[in-house]
Amino acid sequence: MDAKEKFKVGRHMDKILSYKWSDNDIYSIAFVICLFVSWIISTTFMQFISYKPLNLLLAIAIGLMIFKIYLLDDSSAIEIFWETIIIGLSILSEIKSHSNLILIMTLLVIAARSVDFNHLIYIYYVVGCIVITAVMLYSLIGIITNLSFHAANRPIRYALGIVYPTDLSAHVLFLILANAFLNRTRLTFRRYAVYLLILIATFKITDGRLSCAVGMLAIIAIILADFAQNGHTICKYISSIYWVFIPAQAYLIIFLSIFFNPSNKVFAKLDRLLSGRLYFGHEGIHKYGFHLFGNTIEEHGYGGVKGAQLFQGKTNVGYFYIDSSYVRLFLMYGTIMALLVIIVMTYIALRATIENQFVFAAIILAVSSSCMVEQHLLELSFNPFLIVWLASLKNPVSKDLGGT
Amino acid sequence: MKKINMKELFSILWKDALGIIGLALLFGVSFWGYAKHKQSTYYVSTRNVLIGHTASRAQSRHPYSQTNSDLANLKTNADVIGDSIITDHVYSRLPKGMKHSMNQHTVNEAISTNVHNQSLVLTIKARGVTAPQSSKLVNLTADVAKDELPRINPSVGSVTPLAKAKSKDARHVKTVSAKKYAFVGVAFGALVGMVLAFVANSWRRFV
Repeated sequence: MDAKEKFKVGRHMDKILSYKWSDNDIYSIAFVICLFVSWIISTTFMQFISYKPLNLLLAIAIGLMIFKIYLLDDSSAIEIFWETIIIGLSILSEIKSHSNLILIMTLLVIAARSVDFNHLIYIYYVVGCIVITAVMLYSLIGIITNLSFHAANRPIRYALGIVYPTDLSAHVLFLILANAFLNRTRLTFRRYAVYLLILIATFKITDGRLSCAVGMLAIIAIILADFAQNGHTICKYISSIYWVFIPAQAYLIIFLSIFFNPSNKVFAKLDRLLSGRLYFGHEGIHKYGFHLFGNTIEEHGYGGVKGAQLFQGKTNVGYFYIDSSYVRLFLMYGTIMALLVIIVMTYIALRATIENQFVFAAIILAVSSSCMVEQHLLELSFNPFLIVWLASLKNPVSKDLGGT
Repeated sequence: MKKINMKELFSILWKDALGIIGLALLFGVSFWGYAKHKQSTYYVSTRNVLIGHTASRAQSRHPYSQTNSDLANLKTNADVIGDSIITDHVYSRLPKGMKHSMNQHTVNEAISTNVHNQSLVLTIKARGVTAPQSSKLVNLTADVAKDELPRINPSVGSVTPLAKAKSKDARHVKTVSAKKYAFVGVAFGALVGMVLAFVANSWRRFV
């Protein structure tokens, strides 16, 4: 290297070393680590990567977030007290459930105090687009496995590098929601049309009926919310009750799962529509029961290479999976954390409604609807929206006033 | 907040292309190395044996049902051959060199059997660290089966080993493909590079 090159590298290193790391920066690093790890775990890269390096990365992220919470944030003593209580409770849930999702999401939410939420969702969105595009291309080329699922009476479903077709459609749905969030003050019908096209294309590939339905309803809810935000009275009335549906949906799916009775015709039909989700939720509830801090639940799902083999009937274990995030919350992580998460979600939506951010409320409603039937509530690569609780969300002024 | 579009994203990635390619190569090499480290190779030799009342069928009073009962018993006999009651004999008859590198348990693990539909021919498979080892093992197992199986299971009739396995015909099996891992590593590294390039770039602009 000649002198000029050496100087450039030296300058870069100097810039990095003398950079004044703000608490937002520390959080951003932890956020990107958790986001990337969460994404990779949902792809067929996992055939080649073991959990050890990923857990190491997560440990670093956890360390950074704890550092920020206790040493960088200027929270009051009471705030630190309650944060510690909540983190402690989530640790108990993690130990009981043997799943690190609850701790990671809890830390991400609490450590996000005063962090710019718009910036986080922006990162989430672009990183998500990069990863999903790359993963789809890789799977089509053949570098990683493009799992396909053949079932009677259904078209062939492709996962395109993701671990299961339904997860692929969930990723797409949440990316659409993130895009809607980033553009919440300048939504146009052209944008809605693009969302619709993407949903239809995803449906063709994955045959994910539930995700497609939730997506369509989400678009309608967002359209109404957008009108509401711009002053339309009737839409305002409709959008103002979005937040109520969140605890209602949690209650509904738990209720249906507890009282599920296969011999009842209505239940049976509903269960068929939901592809057996009520049946397995019911099984889970009666096998494990509701406990304060959750249970360790052994699941055998259809995701991944092993799951695809189970799907084709090539393994000896039976299928057992709890699809609903809400049922999962209560069974795996316990009543305490479940109630906490649902309360936080409801609060976020209610706060958005009060602040006239009806589109955001619609987005949270869409997240809740998807999580009624999908298991992604606590996975950062799907749902980043819980983080808004303590984060700093500067809501842009409406477009008429020239805001961004 | 300034929006990013595809053109800008591509220009960011192009600017940091060297870094991305560097990371891709780095991960490619690491994955390859890891795979090579994890990889184990072994050889598989096969030999067939004919099990049944073949010699005495002509004299049997019920040749048809005799054949059927031989077919029905074939899986049983296969399981016996795979059992340590036979494989221990195999171990004891191994040449001294092989006896050192194996024990009764590993011999039992190395030997497996396959039955075929409607055929009295049973396939014995043996794994070995080298080709000659695998072929020696499978040939010995067939011979042991010929001697011991009728003693253990008198209704078996006779056991006739077919063509001997030759070490040059042994199949070479690799548990993981280092090349595949290398490709996956390159792809993964490129992905990490792209994500880091974007994150680093958006850092300079917003924070």
